[in-house]
Amino acid sequence: MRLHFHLRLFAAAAALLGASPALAKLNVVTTTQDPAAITRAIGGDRVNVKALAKGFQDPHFLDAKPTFMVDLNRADLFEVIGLDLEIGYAPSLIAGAHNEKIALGAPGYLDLSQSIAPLEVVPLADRGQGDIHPNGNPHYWLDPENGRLMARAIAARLSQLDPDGKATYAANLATFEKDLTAREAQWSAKMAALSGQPIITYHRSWTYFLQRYKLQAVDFVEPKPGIPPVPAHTLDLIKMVPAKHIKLILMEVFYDKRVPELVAAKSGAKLVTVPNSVGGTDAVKTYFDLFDTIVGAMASAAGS
Amino acid sequence: MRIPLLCLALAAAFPFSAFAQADAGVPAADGGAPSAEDEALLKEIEAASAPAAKPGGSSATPEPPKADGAAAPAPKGAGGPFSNIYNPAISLNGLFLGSFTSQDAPAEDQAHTGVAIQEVELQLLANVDPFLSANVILSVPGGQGVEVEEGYLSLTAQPLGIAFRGGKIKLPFGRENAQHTHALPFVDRSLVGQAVFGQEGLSEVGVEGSYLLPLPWYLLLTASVTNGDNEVAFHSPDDRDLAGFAALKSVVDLTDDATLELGASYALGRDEDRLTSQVAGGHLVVKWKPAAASTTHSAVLTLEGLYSRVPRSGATPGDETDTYGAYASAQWQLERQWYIGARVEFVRPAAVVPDMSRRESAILVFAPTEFSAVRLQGSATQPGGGAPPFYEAFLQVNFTLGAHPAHSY
Repeated sequence: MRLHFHLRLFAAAAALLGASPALAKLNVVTTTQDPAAITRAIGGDRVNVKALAKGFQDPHFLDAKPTFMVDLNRADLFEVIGLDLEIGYAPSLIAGAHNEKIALGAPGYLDLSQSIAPLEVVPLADRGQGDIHPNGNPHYWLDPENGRLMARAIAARLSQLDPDGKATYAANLATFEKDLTAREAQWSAKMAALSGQPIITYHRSWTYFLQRYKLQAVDFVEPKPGIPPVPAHTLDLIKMVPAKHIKLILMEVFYDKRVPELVAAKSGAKLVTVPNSVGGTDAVKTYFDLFDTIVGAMASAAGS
Repeated sequence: MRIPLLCLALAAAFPFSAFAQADAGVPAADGGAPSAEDEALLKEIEAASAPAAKPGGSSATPEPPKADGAAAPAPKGAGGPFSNIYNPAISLNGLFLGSFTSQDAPAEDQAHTGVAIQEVELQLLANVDPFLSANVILSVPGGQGVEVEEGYLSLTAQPLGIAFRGGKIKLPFGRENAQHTHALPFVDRSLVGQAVFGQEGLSEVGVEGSYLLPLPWYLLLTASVTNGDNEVAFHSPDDRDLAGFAALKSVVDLTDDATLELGASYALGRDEDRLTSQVAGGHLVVKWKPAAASTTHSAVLTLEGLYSRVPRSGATPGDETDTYGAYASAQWQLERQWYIGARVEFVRPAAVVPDMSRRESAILVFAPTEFSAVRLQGSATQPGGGAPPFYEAFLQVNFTLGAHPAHSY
């Protein structure tokens, strides 16, 4: 009798834990917040999405925390930015996740850089040039047109992994693209006044954004990618601002502001500090919010 | 007895499941007669698998020659008969060390005043084929003589979620043992680590399996069978005497910015006199790294203890056979490129007249990038047996070339 009860209890638990259609969501893990935001827009209720990095965190320097491996152990899909942005932690996370579904080359591994045309490819890279990415600059999500390409790649992979949801993913992709097109017109209109202007940025995070809106990065607060500011280079920047009529210095929320603030104060340029990822500030909850915030801050600084 | 067990382990580990998955659409062979549809499919498969009637048959049609008879051009990116494309990821770590000791006549395994190459380490890492990957680490300790520090194959497939690797492995016994010299938080290993496993740590030839338990938090179970060759802990003269190792490691998030790691390890083997020897250990690590300042601030607190019992013949039953000790260390990142750290430790080694040794160390690190560091360390040691205290200072330059994989968390 007692055994019978235990069997029934086991059966009930199995039914609860089993693959009931209502519970069978795809588990998606992304390294950064931006593909996570796009995946939520495309996947809707059919996906559970978790991003490993916070939006206000430098995505180059995440730790391969074992607790992330627990998330990846249950993942159906692991989306990475690629172009070596996650070289310091993604390989360790995959190795420690004990999940063949997300191994390199498996359907559950999606390198989103494969869907875009990378800029700043450096075939003859050398570490003497700083922390550069030989296969291209990885900050491509900051061009909204690349966001469109990422969304298409995500929709295609979700459809492959969950064929029953193909129509949903296609419909959500169509909505995303329609909204993106409408927003792009607004962002372009606001950025038109800045077109052609020289600008200083902290890191080479803004290459794609600047190309989209036709701004020219003439120098960087970092003397070389990944190398913190040094006095001689900072002095050069202070002298460069009036000489080249630079009005704006653009930087991410997670870098030390002391040197850029000094350059701005001594040179008369305006410092614009903005998130470069979804979640970079509390107000930036979607991919569209990200551009609303960046474009709004830049247009405001240029107009004031 | 061991050969059937080995065969069983290999059968479980080898990734035939990958092929089984590829055949998922074909009804399983259950001993019944194949259907007409299956027979037709089998004939197609046989025809496709048969050797071609002549070179360049229908299944391998060569590129048609151009009208002028010239050969088809080589595919874009092909490097001809010699190419680097499939070379492994190669990296090199170099450690140069300047040392000072207040001892007039230090023991051979202690620091000597002077400048030397502490170690050079070359790592080669690549997939061998779709089924195996290889990781080989060659070291040149002291700049003389090449040793295989690690060299193992890992199975790509993970049957039942178990990851297998085999070869020479620095076993994940506790926190410090699996770390390579260039990745240690201090210039040298802990006193207890050296007393229990020797200068090179517990690095054994064997087969290891690890399994991430399906729990809401990280709990990794690792077990291995090795040759039990460690000169301090095991080293049986009979090659048939193997050693076993098992460890549990758990990691939980205390907050978004902090983690707690707890681990327990145990190894069992036979010593030089074929008597059973055992080593047990436990460790605790708290790491803090705020996401909003992840490149400029972090802290690590580590506690680790080891206990070994190596009887050896001639020793009387009792504490003389036991070695134990522990260390506690703290590291603090002051700025993006600057770290400080401190370590206190003790060891009570097995000896005819055992006595406690104690050491305190402090370190200052300047790391311009993650590929280079300069480390200045000072240590004060109170050796056992009533010997006078002595002092040491080290200046280490540490650099990395090439595609070095990330260190474990």
